[in-house]
Amino acid sequence: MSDGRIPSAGASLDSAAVAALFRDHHAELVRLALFMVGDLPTAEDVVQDVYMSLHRRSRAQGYAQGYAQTVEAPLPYVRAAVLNGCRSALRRRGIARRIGLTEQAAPNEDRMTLASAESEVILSEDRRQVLSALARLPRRRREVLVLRYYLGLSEAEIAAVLGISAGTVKSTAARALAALARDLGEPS
Amino acid sequence: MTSTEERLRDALGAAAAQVRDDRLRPLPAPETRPRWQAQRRHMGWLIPAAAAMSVLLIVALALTLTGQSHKTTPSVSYPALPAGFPKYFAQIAGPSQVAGPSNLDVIIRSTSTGAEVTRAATPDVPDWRLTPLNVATAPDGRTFYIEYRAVDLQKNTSQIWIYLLTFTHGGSSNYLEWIRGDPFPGTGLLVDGGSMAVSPDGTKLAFTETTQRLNGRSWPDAITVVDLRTGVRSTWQGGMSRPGLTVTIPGISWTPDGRSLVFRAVWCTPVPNPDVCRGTPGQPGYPRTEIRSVDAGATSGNLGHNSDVLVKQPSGHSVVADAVPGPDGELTLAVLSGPGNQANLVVERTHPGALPDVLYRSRVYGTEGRPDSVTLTPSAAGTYLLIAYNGPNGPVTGWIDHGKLRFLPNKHPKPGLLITGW
Repeated sequence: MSDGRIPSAGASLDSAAVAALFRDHHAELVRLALFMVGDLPTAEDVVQDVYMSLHRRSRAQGYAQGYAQTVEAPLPYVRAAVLNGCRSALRRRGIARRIGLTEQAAPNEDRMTLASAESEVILSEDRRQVLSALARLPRRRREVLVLRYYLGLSEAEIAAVLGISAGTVKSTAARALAALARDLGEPS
Repeated sequence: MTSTEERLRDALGAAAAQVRDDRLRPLPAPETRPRWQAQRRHMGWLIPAAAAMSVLLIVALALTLTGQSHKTTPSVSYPALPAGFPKYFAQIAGPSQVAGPSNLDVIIRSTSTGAEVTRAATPDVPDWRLTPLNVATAPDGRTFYIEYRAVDLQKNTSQIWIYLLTFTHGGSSNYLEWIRGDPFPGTGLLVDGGSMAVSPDGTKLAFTETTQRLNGRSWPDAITVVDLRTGVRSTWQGGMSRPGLTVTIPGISWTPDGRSLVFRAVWCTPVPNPDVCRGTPGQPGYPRTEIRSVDAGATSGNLGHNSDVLVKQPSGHSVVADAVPGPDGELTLAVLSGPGNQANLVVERTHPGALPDVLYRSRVYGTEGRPDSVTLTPSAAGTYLLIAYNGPNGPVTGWIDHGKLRFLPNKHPKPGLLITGW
């Protein structure tokens, strides 16, 4: 995960570093958010909000004395921020659904969602089943599986992103895989 | 690795590949504010606190003077919007609340509450004066293209500049950037914007420029299509002139398949202001309209020779005020009829070889003589039709639902307020 343009451990995350980080990892972060929230516009919003938030912080850091912020590991920090943003988006969506404000997409609306991505020809029925089963998992399990099998992170890296212990990551992943296998009708 | 893990990795990879890097909405370019503004931001709590104190003082004063207790005001509720309804609409409105060169801002509002989501001030460019003319909405319903007339104050010429406006979900930040292909050279002092529309796949933008007269010269109207990915443009121009008449193209739409452009051409006898074609029959300024289509896939060419007439000038006093093409070759027309400063409006859907279906009827009022301004704007998915016109009490904006007009919530109705896109 090392990148010359990303601040080293303990360095401050200035505006240029934030811009470089997002330039290099924008698509990856949007995809990560897409797996969590299920539709592309919301995923892009989440990543944009994180980006703007980091910029505001870096500006404040630059302008106000005594407000210096250091980030030990920028990329895990940003991934964690994106996942936090996804949780907030899902929470807002849940509240909206409960009070009847949900606006569902019309069938003919041209809107990129995980569901519509699934329906692409190149996504086979098998892949569609797997993604549907993944979407049915509890949020924490889904996060662990996506970080592990989409981003290929180690248990320690996942632990750093989610702010939990490596042991919890291991047990959560095992339970998530078992649940996924059960849902797919496979022996775990 | 178990088969579940293999299947999961494969499915995630395949789904991720569906999200193409080049189709992602670009990240905003955060503004860089001077230090004094940033420092002042940390004292921002003073303003709301002062405002709250003022309100409390006023309420206390009012209660003291009137001796009446405060009555609970009824809560405002809005009707639930149907599925797939556009979430935002755009307005060009003034006066600007943002210090800058223009009195006009582009405001994005929520269609469910009318609340302002974000506001884009007119860019302040040294030696140029910009005025917003049009707003078109991308198929995602949340990306807006804003057309500005940019007057070069040094050379006294003008151009069309088109900006892309994007904003974060909460509207806390927005940014404007030039589209590829900018600027679009004008032909005179006052190049004006006619109409603008984004193709159904979001890759192309079509706009028209209205005829202007300057020092006795006139320029023919043109339709320009810009490829938003490359900036390559095609222009159709010429071949529309008729002796003794000016011609403008105030309306343009894409067919749902994105292959053709349907536009409205208006001819009228010359009047001092070429924008105004509102005369009575036989008088200067009386408009004659045609609905035509042109193949959007073709390269630049002569507009008159390359376009087909879909609807000719109706008989009598009728005028086609706007037209929107449908997926099966049908057209939705807004037809105005009747002399004077009031006209009958009929919105009808015409199918080839069949009688038209009437969708909506109303009365339209002209602010300067005969009414001519009715705009129809389909939602990005083509499901809903926004209509805007002048009613007896000012501008009316809403969508047509089973023969009735359902109003868009708007917290700041003002005469002249213009809703240009959703």
